[in-house]
Amino acid sequence: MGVAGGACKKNHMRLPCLEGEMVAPFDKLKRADGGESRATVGDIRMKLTVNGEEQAVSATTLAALLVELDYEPDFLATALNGELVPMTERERCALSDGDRIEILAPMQGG
Amino acid sequence: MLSIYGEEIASRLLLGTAQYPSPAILAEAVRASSAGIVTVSLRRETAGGRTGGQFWELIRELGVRVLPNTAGCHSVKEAVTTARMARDLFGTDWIKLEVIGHHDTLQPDVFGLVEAARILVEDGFKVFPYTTEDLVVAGRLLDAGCAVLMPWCAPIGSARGPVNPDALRSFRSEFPDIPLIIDAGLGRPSHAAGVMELGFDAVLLNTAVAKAGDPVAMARAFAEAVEAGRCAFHAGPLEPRDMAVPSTPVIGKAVFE
Repeated sequence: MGVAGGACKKNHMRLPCLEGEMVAPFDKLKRADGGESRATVGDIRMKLTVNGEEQAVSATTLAALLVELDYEPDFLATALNGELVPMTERERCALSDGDRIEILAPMQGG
Repeated sequence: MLSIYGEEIASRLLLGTAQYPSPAILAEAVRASSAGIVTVSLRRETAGGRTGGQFWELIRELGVRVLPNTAGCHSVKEAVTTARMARDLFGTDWIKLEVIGHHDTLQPDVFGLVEAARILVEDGFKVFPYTTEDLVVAGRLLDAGCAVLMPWCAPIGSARGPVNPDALRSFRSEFPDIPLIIDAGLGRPSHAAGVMELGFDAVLLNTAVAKAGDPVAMARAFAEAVEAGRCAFHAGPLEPRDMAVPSTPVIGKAVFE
């Protein structure tokens, strides 16, 4: 039905991680139970603007971002830099430093 | 029966879902109104938030059709992106298109409205444009591919009722075959009955029910008023007269002198 799914296409050619800021996530590395941390030294975090607020995240795709920020993906609509990213495209939607993400949910309306 | 974009619409009352005292009262009011279509919107969800999912469940349980809106959008770009996000989330190509142009009156930006309508129709949407009673703008919206028009009768949430009934009358007669829904400005059931008597096909309201002392009772009152107004329109109301006309026959009256 002609859904604009092009918001992410341009990102496939970019290397968002190289533009990211190096942040050592000490909180993840020093786990008291001695378990293996998902993070590694030199974990690269990107700065994104999510719903108007700056966030530093590890996720490199939109789908991973929703998981990282504890969203319920089935009840959301997402946009990247002002363009819709359909639910079916989130896995493939690579994020880049400085991206603006909108995460919207159904709300009451008139 | 009213048909819009090929869909048979059983109820001529469309209800908004905002501003109710509680979700339970919202649900009860929707049932009392007999509305088959309710409007919904999209707003930012907080991280970890679940309010959107809970609201969506409540709407789905009501078994009504949703008409997502682009409320609060002030630009074509905002409205178009919001509409696309709404289609992705709600799974409907219906969109109540609002492009707001004036902060105080919430009057539509009719230039942006026409442009956004054209873009969305080309993208496969079935657009329900919130517009003014301007006939020229309405014509442009039809040219853009809208098959329904939703003129205001007063500013959103003002509860003033039809402030320009002559314009509404002209609107109805200019577009006799287009479904016309009065959207915004209704305050009382008598307002709804009044515009239905003028021949409008349906009304869309929210604040007048949600902010009433008893929203459920008011929803029922509006439903009955819409029904009464529609019946009256079909029954052919009398036009106002300048002079009195006796209703009791004059012929045969006794003369006492």
